[in-house]
Amino acid sequence: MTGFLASSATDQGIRWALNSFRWALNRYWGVILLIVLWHAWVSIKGYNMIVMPPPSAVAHELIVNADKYIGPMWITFLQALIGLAGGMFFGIALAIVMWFSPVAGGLITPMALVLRSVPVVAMIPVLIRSIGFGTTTVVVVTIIITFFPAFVLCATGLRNLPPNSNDLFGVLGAGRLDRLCRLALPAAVPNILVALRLTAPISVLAAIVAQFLMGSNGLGLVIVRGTWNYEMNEAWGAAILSCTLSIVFFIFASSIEQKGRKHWT
Amino acid sequence: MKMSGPMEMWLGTLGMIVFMGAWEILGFTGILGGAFPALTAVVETVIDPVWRDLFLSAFGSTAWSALQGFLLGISLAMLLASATVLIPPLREGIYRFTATMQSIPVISLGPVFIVTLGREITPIAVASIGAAFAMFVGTTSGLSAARVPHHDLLSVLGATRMQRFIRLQLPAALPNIADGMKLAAPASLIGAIIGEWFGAPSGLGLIIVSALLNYQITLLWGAALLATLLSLSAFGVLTIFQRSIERRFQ
Repeated sequence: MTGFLASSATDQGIRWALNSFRWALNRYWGVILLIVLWHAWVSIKGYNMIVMPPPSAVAHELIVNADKYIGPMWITFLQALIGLAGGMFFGIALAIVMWFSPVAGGLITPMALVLRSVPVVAMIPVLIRSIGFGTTTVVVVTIIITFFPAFVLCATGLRNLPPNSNDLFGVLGAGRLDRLCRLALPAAVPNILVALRLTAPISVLAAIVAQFLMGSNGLGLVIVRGTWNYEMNEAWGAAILSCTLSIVFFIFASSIEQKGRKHWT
Repeated sequence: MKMSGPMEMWLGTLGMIVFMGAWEILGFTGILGGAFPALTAVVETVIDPVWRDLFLSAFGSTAWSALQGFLLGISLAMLLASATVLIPPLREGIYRFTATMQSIPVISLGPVFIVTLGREITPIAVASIGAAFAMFVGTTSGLSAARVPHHDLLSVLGATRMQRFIRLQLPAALPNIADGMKLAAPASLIGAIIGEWFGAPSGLGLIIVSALLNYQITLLWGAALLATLLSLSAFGVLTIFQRSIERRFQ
């Protein structure tokens, strides 16, 4: 009897393990494939550690020297987060200004459309040269890059009102401010959340590119230092971490978006 | 609240003029420091006979790399997006694969691409990664745009999975696909320029990085201006393309 119970328990254990293995494979086979290809590429071509380390070496480096990466990762995290918050804030603020004044809106909108197609990431050197080498520039670059999607999406959201709702507010005698706070802004929330999801992962990458080009600090500096010193383990370790940071930002922003959407509609 | 068409156009033009005027004045007076040149100074540098040929060839090679990357990227993205629909078990994995590819910082791939693919191919490879993600997002959202009753109708009429895909889902996805292309074009340009940072033989990215390091301010801004023009014209062409598709399919 007990033997039977025990065996069914192990059976269940095995089944559980199999199921979770299948679940992981189903969702992450792409990522696993990427790592396998990376390993295969390195070993088939016989690249040495200076060209490209195998994934195992990078994982080993990340585990053994974990404390080396915590500081830079924290710096990149902070700079990306401040830049993201700043970009969202300025984007929403300018969209609200435009909403209040159709003249300002008419003046700014076509220019914003032109500026939106500026390849901003490629302009980071221009910004660095113009603002100066330093931490502030990393944040400013991140703000500028997150600003445009926030501004464009928020501006369309503010105008995308439910039909007749504006008339209803007029009939009820609502002022401009009331309309903004109770009608337009709530209507724009889904769009603002989409902007957050779009820009959150990009903010990390923007911060890293700026850090990389200036060699200022954070993970970008670790990547550039690793490349210069032919410590590719270090460069790739930092790259994996920035990848992870960007994905974490994305997952976090997506969950905020889902929660907000559920709450709002 | 609502403005008429001509009024909007006038305000828009006025806005552009104010913007360019402000740029000119700020650059001319040098209030923001030496790193902010006047608009005319930048244009003069671009059309200066000394630099003109350099800019022309750089413009051409960046545009060519970006175009190749764009075509490669959107084809790959459409293949992957079709696979998510035609082979459902692969779907979750493909989504995560593309999200991961997108979040790998290009600056760490750059040096590897230079060594493994070569200096000419690197901008194309980086551009294709940039374009692929935007295109993948557009295509997958488009492929789910067809309505369920239409699927049911085709199934009842005996259409296979493949036929439903070709005759229903693909046409229904075209507006979103055009939208994805519109986003993929600037992304591939950014990719091409960043790819050139790592030592391409020519291109706007090369000018940008060497001008940054050598303090050649107007050269830097000139390359930036040309990159913006390239991005704007690609965006314009694809917007026209998108409009024509929308007219045809809606």
